[in-house]
Amino acid sequence: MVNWVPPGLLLIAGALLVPFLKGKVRSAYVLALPLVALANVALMEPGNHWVLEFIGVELVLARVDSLSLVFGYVFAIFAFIGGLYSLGEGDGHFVAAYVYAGSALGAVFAGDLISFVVFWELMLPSSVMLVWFRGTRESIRSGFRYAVFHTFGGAILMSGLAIEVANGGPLAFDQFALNGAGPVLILVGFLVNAAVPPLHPWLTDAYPRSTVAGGVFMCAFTTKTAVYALARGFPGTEALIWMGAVMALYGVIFAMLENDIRGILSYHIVSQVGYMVAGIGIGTAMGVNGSSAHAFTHILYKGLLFMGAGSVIYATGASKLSELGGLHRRMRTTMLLYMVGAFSISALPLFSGFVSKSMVIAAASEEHLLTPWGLLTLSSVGTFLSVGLKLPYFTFFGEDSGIAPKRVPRHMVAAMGIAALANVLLGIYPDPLYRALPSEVEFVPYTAPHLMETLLIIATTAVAFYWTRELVKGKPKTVLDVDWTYRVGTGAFMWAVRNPVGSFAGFMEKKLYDSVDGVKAFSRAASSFDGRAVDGVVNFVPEKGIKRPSFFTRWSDDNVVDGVIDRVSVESFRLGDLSSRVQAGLVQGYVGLFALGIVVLAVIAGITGRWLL
Amino acid sequence: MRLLLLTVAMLVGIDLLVTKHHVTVHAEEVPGFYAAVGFFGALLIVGFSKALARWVVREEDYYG
Repeated sequence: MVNWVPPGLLLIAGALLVPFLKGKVRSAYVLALPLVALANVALMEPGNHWVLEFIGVELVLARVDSLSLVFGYVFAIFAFIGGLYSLGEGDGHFVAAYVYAGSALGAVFAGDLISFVVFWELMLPSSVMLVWFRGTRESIRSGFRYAVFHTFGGAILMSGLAIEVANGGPLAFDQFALNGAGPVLILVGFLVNAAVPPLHPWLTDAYPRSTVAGGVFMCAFTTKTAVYALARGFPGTEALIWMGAVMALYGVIFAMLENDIRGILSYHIVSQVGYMVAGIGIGTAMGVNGSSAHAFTHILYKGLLFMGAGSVIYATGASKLSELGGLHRRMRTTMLLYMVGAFSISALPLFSGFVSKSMVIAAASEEHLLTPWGLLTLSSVGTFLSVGLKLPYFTFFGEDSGIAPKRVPRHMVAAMGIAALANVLLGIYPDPLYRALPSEVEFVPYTAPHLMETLLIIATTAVAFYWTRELVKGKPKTVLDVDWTYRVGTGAFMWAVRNPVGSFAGFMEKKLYDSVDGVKAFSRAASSFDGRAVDGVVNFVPEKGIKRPSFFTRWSDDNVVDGVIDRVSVESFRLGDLSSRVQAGLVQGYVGLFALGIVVLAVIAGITGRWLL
Repeated sequence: MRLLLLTVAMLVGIDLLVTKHHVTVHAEEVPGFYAAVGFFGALLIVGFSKALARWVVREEDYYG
């Protein structure tokens, strides 16, 4: 079969054409583009394609194997669902969203580290636009924090790769041997995008502040590309088991405190990615399969949840549980579709999470990893508690907010419908997904003990929620997380810059200007000496009758004397200019120090974060 | 609520009849073990988050 274009590049290049189209043609185009990318993924044959020579390096733009295909399929499918959901958005949204989705596709199909990193980094500028398009002061500031955090993560990844390549490591993107600084930095770079605490606050800070349609795209691609990268580069790394198990519970606990509906869902991304990270850490065929399957279903159900929550925000203008309530009659369709997502993430039988989450838990059980198994099981209780009970209860039931919601457009409902259908189909008939997984493993999710286990957990969690619902209801509060360290920490740092450092800079500035004043005074004096004394003498001489040398004296006056004097004044002004540039240099110094501060704070956050856990 | 409790009772009843082959911990063999996991797990999570709230929950305009 022909591999016409790598699917990632197809989506990226195609995205750039969206602004040139209008009306129905544009709508048809934005829906067709991800479908063409999906067909492209489906038609690719296993193997390395698009192998290019670039400055003596071999780039592989399409490495097609079972691992990249699982992620490739779901990315392309979800780009379509997200595109349908955002049909009412502007050109900028589509360019950003499709470049973002295309970069994610490019990254999972990249067979070498260089093209992988290029696609990986391209996800940052495109995704941050989806936060900024919201246009509120909060989202703009949050977008900057998101960008700085990812720049920091990207720098760590790049330095790791540089060390690895300098040490003669291969350029092909395969499993790394975890020895030395290079692979460790690469791993940390991946962990930033996988949102492993304490490196997660970019997610829970920015996602709730993105646009309604932007959040739908964001919840799918960044973390799952990182899951792919971990599965490719670091399967069987024991530390990942513990990180994953702890992060599954971390997300669940913070979600209980959140008031923003997409904030709750964001913490549950952290939690669900925890299952995937743990599965990769276990590293057995069952573990990696479970992580891949869970990434696949997660994109579909989390996308559905973000679309449902987004529809509520679109229709009511409110995003906080404390402002919502009693919408079940007025938003029945949205509620029912949301609940399909909620049942899927909670791994109820007949819904998609049931067939994937259990694989990770089974992998932990097979390897007799008791504590991680316990943490993951406990987290699944918390998942149903907040996504399946708390969020829908206080949005659609509870105290009536009296909000009269707008009608949710048909294309948004249709997108949710497709995602809901996909979740139910996968829940009932998971075989196609199982066959697509990296390893061939026999796994039967529908057994009597597994069914009983799930039903008992769900029913008793509901009982516990019923009794504690007043305790856990949304309150108009801020939840401090690791982002506190840099949001308040940089404030303290900037205070230090403005006060002690700033006053020293001011002192130096005054000194410089004083010295400039001296030069300027000299230049003024020299200029007046030129005008009065030298010119006077030169002009005086010809009057005495010496005609011939006048040409020379005039020439020397015009060129040498004026030249020197002009030079002095020009130089003195240049000095003044330089001193102002030194000022600007100090500003750059602040920026450099700021960046250094972030690194220091991140390290502190890392240490204290670990300690607190 | 009655209905929910009745469902739990029924489920525990059915759980008595289900034989478990692969268990991670022996406690899983006790009928209704997962009923306890669900109920106490949920209370534990609520309790822990409430305890944590003291440290991490602030006024809405905290960051200004």
